[in-house]
Amino acid sequence: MKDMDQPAQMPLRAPETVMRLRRMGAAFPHRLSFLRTLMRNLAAENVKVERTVWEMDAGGFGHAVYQVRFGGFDYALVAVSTDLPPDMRTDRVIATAWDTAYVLYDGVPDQSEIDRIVASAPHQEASRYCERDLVLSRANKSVRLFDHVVKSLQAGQQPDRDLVQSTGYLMRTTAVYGNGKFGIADRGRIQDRPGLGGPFMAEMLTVWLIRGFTHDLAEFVGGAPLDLDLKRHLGIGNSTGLGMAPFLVNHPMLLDAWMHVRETALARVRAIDALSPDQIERIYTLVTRVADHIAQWKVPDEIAAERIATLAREWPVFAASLTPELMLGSKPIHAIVNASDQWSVDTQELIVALMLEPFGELIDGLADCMATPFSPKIDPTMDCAALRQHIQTDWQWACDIEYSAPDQCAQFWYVSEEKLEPRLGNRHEEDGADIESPLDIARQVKSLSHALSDWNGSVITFLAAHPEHRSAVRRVQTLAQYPYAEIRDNLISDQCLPIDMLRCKLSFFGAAKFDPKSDRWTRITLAQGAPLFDELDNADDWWLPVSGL
Amino acid sequence: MKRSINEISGMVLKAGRGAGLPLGHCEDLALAAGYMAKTDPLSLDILPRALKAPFAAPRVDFQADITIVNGEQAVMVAPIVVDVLRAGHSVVSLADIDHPQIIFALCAACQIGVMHEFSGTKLTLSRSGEAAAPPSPSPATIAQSVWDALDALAQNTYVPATEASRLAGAGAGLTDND
Repeated sequence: MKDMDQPAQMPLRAPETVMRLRRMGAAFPHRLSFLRTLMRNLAAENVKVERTVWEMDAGGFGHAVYQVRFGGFDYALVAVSTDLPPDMRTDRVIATAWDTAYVLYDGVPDQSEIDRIVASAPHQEASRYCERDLVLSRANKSVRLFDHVVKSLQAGQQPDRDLVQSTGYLMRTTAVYGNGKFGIADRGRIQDRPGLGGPFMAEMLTVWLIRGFTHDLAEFVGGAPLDLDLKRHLGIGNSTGLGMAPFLVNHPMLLDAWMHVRETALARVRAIDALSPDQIERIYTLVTRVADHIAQWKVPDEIAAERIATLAREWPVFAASLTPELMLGSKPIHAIVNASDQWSVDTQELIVALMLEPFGELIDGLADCMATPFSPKIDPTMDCAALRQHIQTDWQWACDIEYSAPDQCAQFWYVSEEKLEPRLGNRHEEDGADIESPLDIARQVKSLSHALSDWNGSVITFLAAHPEHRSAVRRVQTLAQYPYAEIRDNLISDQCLPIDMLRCKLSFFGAAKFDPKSDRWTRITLAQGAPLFDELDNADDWWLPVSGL
Repeated sequence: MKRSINEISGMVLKAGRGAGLPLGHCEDLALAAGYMAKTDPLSLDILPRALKAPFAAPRVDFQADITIVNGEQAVMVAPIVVDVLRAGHSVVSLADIDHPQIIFALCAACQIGVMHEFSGTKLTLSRSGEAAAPPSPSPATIAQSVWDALDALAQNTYVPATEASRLAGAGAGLTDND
């Protein structure tokens, strides 16, 4: 880790515990989530957002450009708003038209570049882009709320506060593409830049700028300003489906970096010997805020609603356990986290996120370690006995599974020919398992383990004879060095719920108000409560925001 | 058409899988292709020809002062060559390699410096320190015919949609006007 001045820390939570799907699927945003880090970095530079172009008709259709200078570089969000018939509005990534489309542009676009983006961005995947285009995105209106807000403002009133609270955003993005998709810039173009070098920083900057654009658009069409507290509570929605799920599997070292940083942060705060009165007061304030946030988190999905209800039942009991004696005792946070295993996994993970919140000075520097320049490598000097030992140590759970059992191989991942999107099929009912995507990591490692059982000598000779195991060898060796690099569950069993993978990743983005629509896609809200464009001087106290409605 | 490095690497990975190349070798070939795209995009033309199944496992013969890797398919041999050089063996002998550029590219992408010498169909690689860091990515032009050939291989990994798969897709498949 780059953070050289290492504070004291307790042992990290074991990867065998942390990297289980169910627990990953209970993750909450925290102060090291990318949007939070971005806001702090923007604030540190006193970044100004300037709206340099606003060419909209009275209905709010046209384009706009927002300019920021950040980390010594200029960036521009080019936003395009089009008139979309209601029957074409869908959350799914496979849609072909959207209310709005966006490009985060590298530099200050001249008129010809603006014209190019205005012509191409509404077509999204059907267009091609260039290396000056850093991020491509689109968003649909929450028609119910957007129309209500506009009509209210036009009538000289503020929108209904309950409706603002229950929806939480004016628009919802359905894709935010980075890293070379459709010809846009590879991540390598920006990975060494101050500010945007962290993981998904360009995407998060885009999302935050889009959120501001949605406010501007509603106020422009409505002809009046929104109250600041209402506006602040309007984040940007997002719909995320299976397309995001394989990311965590395909980027094991990045997954390790994210999880390792979060767990290191927790280990640091657990090592705090004693809390100051201010810190205790801060924790009490946040505990109350969490209770309010839970009360405002309402979703129609029965399973998710039950989990939230459990949280709501457990939270007051947990809060009552934070007695002055406990808070003034020795290593109080360690004691709190230790005691948290009496609660549901959701409550446990919420406590983790809570306990990170007051201790920015101790942990914020860890955010620099969340990007990794490394990629998995094979160590050819390892001998096969050592490789077997690593499998025994880290992958016994995978080797214990009988993958021929119908329930343990019930699902298969694949890419659909029709939409080129990841899908999850039923192996026993659907065709295509013979060309499944290789996300069956645990099964691959068990197969490697069998092949290794009677092999002596070095990994080189083994891999020359068994090239089919090269990928699995790389993963085993990587996990031996990067203990949070793998999800420690069978991703093809009937118990695998992709929503857990989505929520883990989205929590690192800073998403909240998870609103699952099935076990494979979810809506979320980003940047709710985040500073507005002109509020970056107060950029860091919006964890689990609560509408004061 | 110009493509980003990530697009090219991703397509090569899928094409390799579609051709039946072992997954780990596909991952290495994608890495090599990214380097080729950054440094010599025209060399990408060889990739469809390099992905001709069946793929045979090379044999490795460690001798006192040289390691002989027996195999003709660069997509199979290149990762083994990298392993051998990473393990500290300094000279590798190859013969009848179909597309040596892939071996050079993978070594360079792994920042392994090598000198090479051809003698007829024999190719000798000698370790020469670390290769320079690869240049920053910028989009590369790849011939449409090459892209199409790779795409044709990649399509072997795509599953045709059925009504069941559409219904069980990523989302509900409904219009959404909340």
